[in-house]
Amino acid sequence: MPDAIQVNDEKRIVHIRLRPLWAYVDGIREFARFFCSTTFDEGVADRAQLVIHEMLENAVKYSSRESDEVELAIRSDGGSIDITVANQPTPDSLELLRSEFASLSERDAETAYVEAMSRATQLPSGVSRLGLARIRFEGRFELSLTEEKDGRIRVTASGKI
Amino acid sequence: MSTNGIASIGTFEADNLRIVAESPNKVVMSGTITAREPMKTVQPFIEKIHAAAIGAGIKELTVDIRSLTFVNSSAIRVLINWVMLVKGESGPRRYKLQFVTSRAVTWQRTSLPTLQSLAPDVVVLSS
Repeated sequence: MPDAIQVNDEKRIVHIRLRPLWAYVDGIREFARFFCSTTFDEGVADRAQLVIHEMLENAVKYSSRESDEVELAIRSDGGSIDITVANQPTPDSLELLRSEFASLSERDAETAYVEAMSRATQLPSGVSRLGLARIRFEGRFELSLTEEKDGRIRVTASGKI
Repeated sequence: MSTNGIASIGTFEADNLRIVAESPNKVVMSGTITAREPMKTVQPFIEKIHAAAIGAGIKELTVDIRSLTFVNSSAIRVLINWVMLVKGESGPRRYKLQFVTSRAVTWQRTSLPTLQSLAPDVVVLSS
């Protein structure tokens, strides 16, 4: 089980800390979707589950060690929703992430997703690199990347409700 | 052309996903695809369907995904591969992929039209 799940319905906040294990990803998506559907409308809950799944998948796939901690936080002020996932990435995956963010910043959400799908056909089997572009286009969330001094990163997706 | 079409392929089930070759030219996919590597599990079954569709001389294959409620990006890649497999065929081996979608399912509203843009002569969307 994840180490800690804290839910504050009044402030519409969820904070989950977990080890980067694949087995947790889908269960947390389902929990987060349920939480969001009790707080927001179904459309927002649908978009949020996509964002949470893709961001957690990335954090689990690209964390340095299984002993590292991944954090998921969902916050809402009523008009918008912020979803943040923090983890300790491997050096290679951090470089890739920086490159993806640079590429996304130069394109609108639709163009970036079409290009990402087209690019996917050229990538090795099993690699999609669609997640971030999908969050922007399908989820209608904007993304930001924060690098901390200790090597941890925070990816935040912000969307209107 | 086989009268069974793809129906002899049968059913694929894994985790929350079910794929049924329901009739000679229709596949129904339901559930969710959230596996880490659907390329290793789902993709081989898709390739079987593809080979059977070509073997049966099918001109249009209906893929009903209305009850496929959630997929991860790796699963989108599997769908992209399917479309590109068909696009790589020519003459009588080429068939159309008609995806039956639901407007109520978020990922289908956005990702399917984008998928169609990769191969508009292969992918047909209906709801």
